[in-house]
Amino acid sequence: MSAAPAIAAPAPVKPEGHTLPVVVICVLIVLAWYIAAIPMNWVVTGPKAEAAGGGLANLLLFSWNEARPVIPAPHQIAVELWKSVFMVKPWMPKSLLFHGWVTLSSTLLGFVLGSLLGVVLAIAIVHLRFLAKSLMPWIIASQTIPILAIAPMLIVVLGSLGFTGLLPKSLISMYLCFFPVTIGMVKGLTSPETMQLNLMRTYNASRSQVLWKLRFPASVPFLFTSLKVAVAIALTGAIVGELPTGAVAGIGARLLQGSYYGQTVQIWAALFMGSFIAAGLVWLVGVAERLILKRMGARP
Amino acid sequence: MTEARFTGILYPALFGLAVLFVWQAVVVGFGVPAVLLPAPSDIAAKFAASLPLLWADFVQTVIRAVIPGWFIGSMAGFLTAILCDRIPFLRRGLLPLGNLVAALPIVGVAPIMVMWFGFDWQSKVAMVVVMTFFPMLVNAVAGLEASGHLERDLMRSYGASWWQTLVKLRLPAAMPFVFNALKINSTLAMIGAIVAEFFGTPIVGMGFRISTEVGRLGLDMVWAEIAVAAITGSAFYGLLVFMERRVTFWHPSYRT
Amino acid sequence: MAGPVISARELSLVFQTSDQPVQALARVNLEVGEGDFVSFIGPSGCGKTTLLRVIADLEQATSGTITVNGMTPQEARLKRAYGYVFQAPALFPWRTVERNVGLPLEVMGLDDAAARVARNIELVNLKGFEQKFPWQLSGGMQQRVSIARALAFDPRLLLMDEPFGALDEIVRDKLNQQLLDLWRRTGKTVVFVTHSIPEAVFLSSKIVVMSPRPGRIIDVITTNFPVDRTLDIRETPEFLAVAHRVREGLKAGHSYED
Repeated sequence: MSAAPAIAAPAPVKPEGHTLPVVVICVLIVLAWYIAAIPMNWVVTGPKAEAAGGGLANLLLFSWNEARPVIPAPHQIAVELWKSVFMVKPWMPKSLLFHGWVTLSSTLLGFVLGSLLGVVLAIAIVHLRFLAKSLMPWIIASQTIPILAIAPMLIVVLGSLGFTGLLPKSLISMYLCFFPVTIGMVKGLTSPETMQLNLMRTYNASRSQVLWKLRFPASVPFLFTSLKVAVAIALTGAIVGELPTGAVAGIGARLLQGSYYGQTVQIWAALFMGSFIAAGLVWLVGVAERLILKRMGARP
Repeated sequence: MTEARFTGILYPALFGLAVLFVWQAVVVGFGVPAVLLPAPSDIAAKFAASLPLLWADFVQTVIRAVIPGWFIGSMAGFLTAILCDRIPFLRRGLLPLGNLVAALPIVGVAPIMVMWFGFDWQSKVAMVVVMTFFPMLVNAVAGLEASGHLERDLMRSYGASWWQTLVKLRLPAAMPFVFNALKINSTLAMIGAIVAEFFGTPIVGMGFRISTEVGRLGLDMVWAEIAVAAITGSAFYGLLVFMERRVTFWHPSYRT
Repeated sequence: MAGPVISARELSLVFQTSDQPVQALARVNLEVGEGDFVSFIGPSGCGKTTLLRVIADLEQATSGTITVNGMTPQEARLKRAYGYVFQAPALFPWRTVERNVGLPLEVMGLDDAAARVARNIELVNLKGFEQKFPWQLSGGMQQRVSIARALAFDPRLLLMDEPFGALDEIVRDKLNQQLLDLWRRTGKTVVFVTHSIPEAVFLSSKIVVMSPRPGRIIDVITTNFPVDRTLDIRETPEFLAVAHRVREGLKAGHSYED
């Protein structure tokens, strides 16, 4: 069959740009945020603005600089972030870097353990049909249990057994992230075409040779896609793991404190910190993906 | 029933029963204290004894928060995806943001939702909406791109309008992706509603019950609630799988 | 109506690619009269599919003029002047055969749909398969449904882009015969893209030989075979002479070189 030529307009074909639209949308969001802050903070700031003499300037001033707002203005969050990251020594309890690191360490541990578990499970599932049939439905069902809801119990139980701190939170992260890795790896390990598997058969290759020479390399793209999902979910798990026992360190702990003491800006700053960590982790996995796929000769 | 379907049900059932058996044997045999890990028999007993309470929690969390939130969030994501299709500039700007937000720890907005919408079910619905919006948006946009370009050329050759092409070709072709998102969202909705209850709730609700019973070390009640959550989650997911099969019966994944 | 169905003058199309501009069509001049069966034949890259797509308003030319039924291709498309058959069946997998054939009728809001659908399904010899889904049919049958769909709204012009390319030779022979009979019975104007010389010579009243780099017409051959011909004609000297002339044209256009 001759290939259909690419659809082209008479004008030169440019690849669609993403930067401008993203920037425009972000600017619109920030603008809408500032505008929304006025009515949303009215309950708290309205009376103050009235007391200062009314007028638009006073209203804007109070709406956007309230210490205990319903919604902080973007610059307030930025200032709080700056203060908590750069104006405090990183090991002090007031530093968001300190809290970020606490959460990050359990995330990373859980992520590594969960990914390893996921890969091992996937290899077992692909090679042992009995395991596939008995285990897969339960693995899928395990995800319908909102594990985040059990986090409190898990933390308490392990705490009474003497395990506190890093390990219980990592276990939650691990439980959450093994599932996408398992599913993705099973898909990847079973992705080689029948023709390729038949080729290995003609070489009389052993199952382990087929695994390492064919199935595993074929599953690398699937693995990285799941790893991105897994690392983000591991972070979520670590944060939720900090909630139930009133932990004093970590992003989740910071969220809880802010919630208890009505420190809205603190909550938002912690949320942004957690988001930066998440975005950073996903980006790192993406970088690793590009490097490895390039070495494997994948098309850019 | 074919042999494959029979073993497909038998093996996991046997596996599950085996786990329950070992669990019971270990707890009873080693005398594990109930505050650490209750035996399945204790949990079943507590379950049977607490039905009214469990039902009240179920109504508060699932009926009042999970289902409405899942529906509103998914619908909003879907409609936004159609809007993004109509306005390519919006799609190019919103989709990278959507992918980014989907990776963020959305559970973190729970305290903010409670602050804005109060302690009752409204904040839980808001939480679920936030959690389910982006997975649906990302999947629906992918689904709307899924129709083949030959099929789209065909509709062009008929002089079909954008709306006709959407309804007759692109929406049916997008259904596998939409159902993928609906299934993912069913899990996220349960998580969102329950975690949001950790941050404030009237004295009823599955998240409330779990956190208070954990504090009182009433772990058999906690497991009973988990059982309710697991059954609800599985039933919800199973219902979606059933509907998915009816709607996307034509997809190659159903043919071996 | 008077005048040719398709008339192209000095038609050119240049694609801007990331490396350099590609001249897909260079100053093509062509006329297709009513009731003609015209084949475009040539190797990959000779512009035959591009030319078909320009006629169908699925591509736009960069210079020159082209009219379809006396209008611009866009007007012709919006007036539903032609039926298009693609290289792949492009059937909607969630619709039965019957509903697939009825798709254009739904889009265009034509009435008498049930009768039209039934008539065209019978025309391609698929009576009895109305309730089947595409994956339940063989490749050849799916392509026949695609042809029935293209005919459902009774366009005067049929545009076909290598419709039988993916099928094996025996099925292809059968479908060639069926297409010929269909053309004879309905009197439609057909423009048919192929890279099979026997197929082009067997089916066409006019063969347009094209060659690549740049895409252009090398030769236009009018055949005079009897209208009620069968596949046996492929072994007659007259047939072989025309096939030879096509092959010479392709060689002259450097189609056989790298």
